[in-house]
Amino acid sequence: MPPRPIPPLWRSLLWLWLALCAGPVLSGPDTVLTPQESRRWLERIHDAAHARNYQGILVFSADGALASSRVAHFCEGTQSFERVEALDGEPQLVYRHNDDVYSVWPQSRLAVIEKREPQQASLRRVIEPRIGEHYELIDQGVERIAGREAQVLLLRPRDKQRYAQRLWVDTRSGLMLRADVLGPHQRVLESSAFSEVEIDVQSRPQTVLQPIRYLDGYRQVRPQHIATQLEAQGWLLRPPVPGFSLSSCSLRSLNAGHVARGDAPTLQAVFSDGLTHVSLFIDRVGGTPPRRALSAQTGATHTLMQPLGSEWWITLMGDVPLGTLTQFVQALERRP
Amino acid sequence: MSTNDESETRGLLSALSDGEVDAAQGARGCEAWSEPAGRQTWRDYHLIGDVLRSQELASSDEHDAAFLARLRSRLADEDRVATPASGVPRRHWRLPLALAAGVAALASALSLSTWLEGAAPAGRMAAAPVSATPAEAATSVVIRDAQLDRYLRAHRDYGAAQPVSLPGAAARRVETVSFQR
Repeated sequence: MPPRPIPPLWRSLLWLWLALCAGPVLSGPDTVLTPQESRRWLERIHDAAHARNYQGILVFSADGALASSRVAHFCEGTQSFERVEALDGEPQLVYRHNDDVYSVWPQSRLAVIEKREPQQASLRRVIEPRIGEHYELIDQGVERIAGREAQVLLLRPRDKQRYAQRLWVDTRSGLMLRADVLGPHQRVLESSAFSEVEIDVQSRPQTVLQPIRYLDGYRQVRPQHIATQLEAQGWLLRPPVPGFSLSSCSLRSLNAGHVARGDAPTLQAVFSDGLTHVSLFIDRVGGTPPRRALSAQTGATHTLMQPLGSEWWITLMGDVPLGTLTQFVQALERRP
Repeated sequence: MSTNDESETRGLLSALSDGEVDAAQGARGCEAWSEPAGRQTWRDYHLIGDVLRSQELASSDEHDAAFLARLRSRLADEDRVATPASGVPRRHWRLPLALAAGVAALASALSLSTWLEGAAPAGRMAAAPVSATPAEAATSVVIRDAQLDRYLRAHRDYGAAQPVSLPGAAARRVETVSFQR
């Protein structure tokens, strides 16, 4: 007996069922993006962050503590202007005009004025191609955030040396609305998010230029960063930690508030993987107040502080798993 | 208390438990609540409300009182950890206590920051004491440390010239504690 044909009604229901099952798989919330797609998204995020005019309230949370700031960013041609005002604790404002960063504490009448390294400025408008080597980008669907529709993207690390990050990106402008740093088992270690945001607002550079022009009555401190090389200072990383390359090295004082005391400078070397970075600080024993070895964590930031021989103190800090910092410590060598 | 007063107090407490009073009535309600009879009425109204919502919420006063007493005695037995001193939530550091699990009294946070002291031998650093520390320690102690904050600020300087709307950029830097003056 030949098999009975399926009645048309059942056949259509079967197709419907198949379509419903396959739907989430085909258009699934977790799609690994191709390198080209990833690059496009990351470029879009960078372009929006640099070139758009936006303002809003940015909330940062880590370890159950919340801190919010009022932020504004304006771009006019090649010039960028930014104002960040801390809304919790002691009043603090950070103004940035291109590479000049002014940190102002009105209550203490203190202004710290720093010029960022041109090395960092040169990374502007370009997405670091290295990100793709160490993270894959995963499309996790669309959600609503700060009253706007956002594309959720997961930056999943390709090894255990770094943390994952989940980004919420405004679908219309490409502006990043929220970023979570994820620890083991996708646990949120810290999060920064716009609770409200206006995009493509009118540019008002005077709100940045005006306050930094009138700092009379403020103690103005200009910390010196002296560019140097690790090798020139007698240090070597062997073998280098996978995925992290040296992006800056300088001698500086960490006590910018009272430089006059003449603290011995600290050597800071920054290693970056294109998304996150690790700082290596080296101090000479006796150049700093007595201290103790420790390992600590705040939000996603781990710290290792240890003596090296009888002459040096090493401090490693980074938004990476503790094991990565240990790798740096193990690779560090003093060249006679 | 006359019957008239009593019914007025009840009405007041009923309105208070429903959140339908103004400031003056609220103050009088709280005054009534400070009397034992007022508290009993207050509990009764809440019990009625609870039962209306769910049978499972209906429990006797004694049950609640016993729970509170147990909670208080447990809390009194808990080790005290140091907490940030200021009312404003600020950045704090957690020191993992995995290696210090045997430490009996957590009297002072300062003494705990020394748990790794002496662990690093001279010369090239040994990894052992560090790698033995799980990154996600089950227990930790919370401290505020000006020295660590200075390093944190220097670490975050790196992103300072980036627009706020990028991972790890300026906004994170601002919540970091300010310079020690």
